[in-house]
Amino acid sequence: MFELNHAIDAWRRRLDQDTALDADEIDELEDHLRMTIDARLVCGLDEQEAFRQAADRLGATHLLAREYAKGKQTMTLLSKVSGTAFALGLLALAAAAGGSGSVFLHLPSLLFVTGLVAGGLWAAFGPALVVDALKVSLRGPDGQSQTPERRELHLAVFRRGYHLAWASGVVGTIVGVILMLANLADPSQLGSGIAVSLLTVLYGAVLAELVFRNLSQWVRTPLATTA
Amino acid sequence: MISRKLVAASTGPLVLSILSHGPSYGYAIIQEVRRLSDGALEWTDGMLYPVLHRLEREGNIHAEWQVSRSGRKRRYYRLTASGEQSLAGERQEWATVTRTLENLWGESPCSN
Repeated sequence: MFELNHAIDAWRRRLDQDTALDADEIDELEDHLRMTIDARLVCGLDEQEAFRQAADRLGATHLLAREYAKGKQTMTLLSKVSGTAFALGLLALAAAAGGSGSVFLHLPSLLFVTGLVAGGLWAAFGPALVVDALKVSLRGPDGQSQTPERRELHLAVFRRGYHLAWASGVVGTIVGVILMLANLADPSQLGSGIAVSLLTVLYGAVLAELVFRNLSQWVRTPLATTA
Repeated sequence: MISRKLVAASTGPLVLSILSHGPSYGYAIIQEVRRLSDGALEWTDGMLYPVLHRLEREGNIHAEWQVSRSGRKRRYYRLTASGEQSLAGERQEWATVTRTLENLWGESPCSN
């Protein structure tokens, strides 16, 4: 048995859960919905059909969410970059404050990790999609249609980047051990092998948690969805 | 079917112009546009409200809640002073574009 007010309540709840619209904005849309329904009831439609047509006219939830979100850039590029820089800066400060900061800087390990991640993403998604994902994540929704499919693709890129970053740390550990074992005869090489082992994990962890996790979150931020 | 770009470009001036005749609310604005365009401009209902909020953020219109006759609360919009200035600017821009196009389209290949 169709009950108009229940249907409208359910519609309201969907908007509330699946979009970032606030109560006032939803109130305004509900007022519009009811006026549209009234107009159709006057034309002789039954309540269920009137509701269905009115809801259709208003537009699909994700489209509404996208249009409203375009006007509400919740994070500026500056705040994203400065936040990440702050976190990395703190790490660097912590490393330097210990007195042996340079120990944490190992270019070969850094190149190893970033190379693996970049190469892996390139191979899996192609440079165009990765750049597109970065643009949308950093600058917010652009003029193109931000369909759920496109969003899922962007999230997939950063999810893969996250796992690749950790994986490169693991692979780096193995490479480091191999280096160590290959140079057992020369004890002075032991240190560099261990350095590769441990620092790749460190770089991978930082890249994964401080960069890729955030890139994913920035894709989600303009649209508060259940995804 | 009017192209999306043209619809998007004309939404702002249309809303400002309608509000220049007096305060109104979203539903009424959509109906008015449909009436004035003989149905050629059928805006997707939900798309109007983000435009209204953008105009409000820009300071071109002012919004306030009022209680309608039926007792429901309704958001009414009216043009601000800076909105009137923006509208005047839009009118000039559109007049320039349409005048140029009409001049081009009015020219016949056999004009002397």
